[in-house]
Amino acid sequence: MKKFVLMFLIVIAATGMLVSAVGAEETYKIGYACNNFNDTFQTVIEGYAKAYAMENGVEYVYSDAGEDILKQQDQIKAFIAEGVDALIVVPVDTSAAEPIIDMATEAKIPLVFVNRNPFAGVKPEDIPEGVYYVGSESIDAGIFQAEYLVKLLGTEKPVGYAILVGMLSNEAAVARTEGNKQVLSKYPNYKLLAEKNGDWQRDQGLTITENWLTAFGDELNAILSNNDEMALGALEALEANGRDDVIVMGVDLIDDAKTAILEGRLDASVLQDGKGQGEGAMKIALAALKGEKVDPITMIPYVLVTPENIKDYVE
Amino acid sequence: MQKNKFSFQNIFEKYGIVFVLILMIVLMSIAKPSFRTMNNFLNILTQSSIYGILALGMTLVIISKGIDLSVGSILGLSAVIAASLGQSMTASNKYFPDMGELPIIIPVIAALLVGSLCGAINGGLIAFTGIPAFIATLGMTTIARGFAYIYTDGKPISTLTPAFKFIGQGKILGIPMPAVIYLIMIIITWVLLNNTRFGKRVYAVGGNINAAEVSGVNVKKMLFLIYTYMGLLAGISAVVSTGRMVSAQPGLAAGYELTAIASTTIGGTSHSGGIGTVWGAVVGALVLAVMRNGMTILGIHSYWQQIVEGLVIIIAVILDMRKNARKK
Repeated sequence: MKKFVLMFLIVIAATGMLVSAVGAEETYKIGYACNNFNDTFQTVIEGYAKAYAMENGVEYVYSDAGEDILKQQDQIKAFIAEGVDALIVVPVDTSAAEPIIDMATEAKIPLVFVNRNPFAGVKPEDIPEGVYYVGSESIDAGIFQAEYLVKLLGTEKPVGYAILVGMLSNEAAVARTEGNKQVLSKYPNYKLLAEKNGDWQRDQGLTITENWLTAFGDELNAILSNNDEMALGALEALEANGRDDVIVMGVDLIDDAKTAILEGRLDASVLQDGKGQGEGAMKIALAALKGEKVDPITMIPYVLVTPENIKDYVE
Repeated sequence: MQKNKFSFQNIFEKYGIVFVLILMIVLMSIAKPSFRTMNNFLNILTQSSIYGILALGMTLVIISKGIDLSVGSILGLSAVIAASLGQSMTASNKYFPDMGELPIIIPVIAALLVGSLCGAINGGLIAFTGIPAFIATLGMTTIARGFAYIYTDGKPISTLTPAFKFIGQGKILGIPMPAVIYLIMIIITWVLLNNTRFGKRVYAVGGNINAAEVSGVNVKKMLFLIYTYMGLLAGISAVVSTGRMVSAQPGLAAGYELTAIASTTIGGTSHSGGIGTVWGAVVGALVLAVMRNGMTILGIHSYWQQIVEGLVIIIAVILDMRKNARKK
């Protein structure tokens, strides 16, 4: 009896799948493979990509790899087996993008990388055909933060700063940190006290900052964070210790960061244009599907958001 | 002479990890004067409190010869639900837009209920279906995390009431609230394990499950209660971490289960069941917190920190096994 019921269910499920596959209309189906939904900004990009897909009648499927390279590859394999017409991928690890490119090329479908750049330092003509990147130049975010810090604190009195680094396997973390150092190493009065990876997480930003306060005390004048979540954690630690003199900056301009800038707690965030990236990725995937000519790399510029221009970014 | 030497060895074996902790504190204090400030010690206590509270429950679980891999996820789910009920009126992205500010007791109770419920499901599965604790709680790990993402749509919930902030950042008589809550839970768990029939039965279940059954212990009920208590502590820990960040993220506390298991293990609780103490879990959590805090202050790279942590766990277990083997 049990076996019968089980078989019965399997048959029903299989029929259902067949019918839905046959019944599908001739619309494009696009798979969005996200690296990690726990990364708030990624959900922002994904939200815009999805909204654009819905508006344009695209059938949309998505997956979350939870920052696991192999899991992501399996999910992309499943997308291809499902018959998606194009892939949009936020790679878990930018240095392991090759298997993904191979899978897409083999399936002869367009592949758009978004947000995390696997082609940093690669010439556009060397990027394989049918593969695209939409995103921002990660190093710019770090440069913007550092230049604003110099503007705020000047080039004379000694400044001790620390960097909260994202996950080191992410190109954005490496490049943003690099951008910070590139600018500040030019000024002898800026001293890098410490850099530590907080894996993009607010709770780690908080704990690390507490320990930095113990280690450096008043020597610490600024914290540059690779993202807003860690910056907001740092703020909690600083405020709990009565240190509102420390400059804190993040990247992404998530909603919490907007509020914190409006309240005068956070000094700056760098806006990565989530809408530009999410919609851009979907637009490029569709253009490629329709056979239009598309540049392999589309750069969406960053914007520095401070108390002076925050009003432009809140409704 | 022989007798003296023997008892010294006994003391060292029994309290070895305490000596390690003291040695670490002394060495750090000499190396870095900033380490030995009151403020830093309070920081260490606060930083250890979140996984320290988890380690208390984990002690009961491991004494009963079980394991709970889901506590980090349960913490995350409890935290986002508590945060959604604890937002202040000024929050710009309110989870419940039409709801006023609720008294702090409501989000706190909600977190404790959610935690206990998840724990009860774990306990129920383990006790009544007989599936191994490893599997039941592994399932709960991804289920609870999944619910946390669904509940929040992947976004953080922030701007909580001042009362919530007080739980995470306030102080009573100069002691940070997370540490106060941790101390209270230490006392409750200590009494539970040492001064009640429940506690004796926890040891009995882990020591020899058949003997326990024969002597009239309701093993199923015990397992159910142990995991429920673990879930409750995850809920309490959720309230503390939410208060500390004045916000909650659905991915919060990923991997904390391993820190809790490590604390418990360093503190001498044996994975073969029947052996373990509350003070051991506390010392184990402090050892990890002092190590993390100390190495950050010394400027040691975080990748090396992970290696040192792993070594400490392994060495602690080797020492314990030798001790337990000699006893037999």
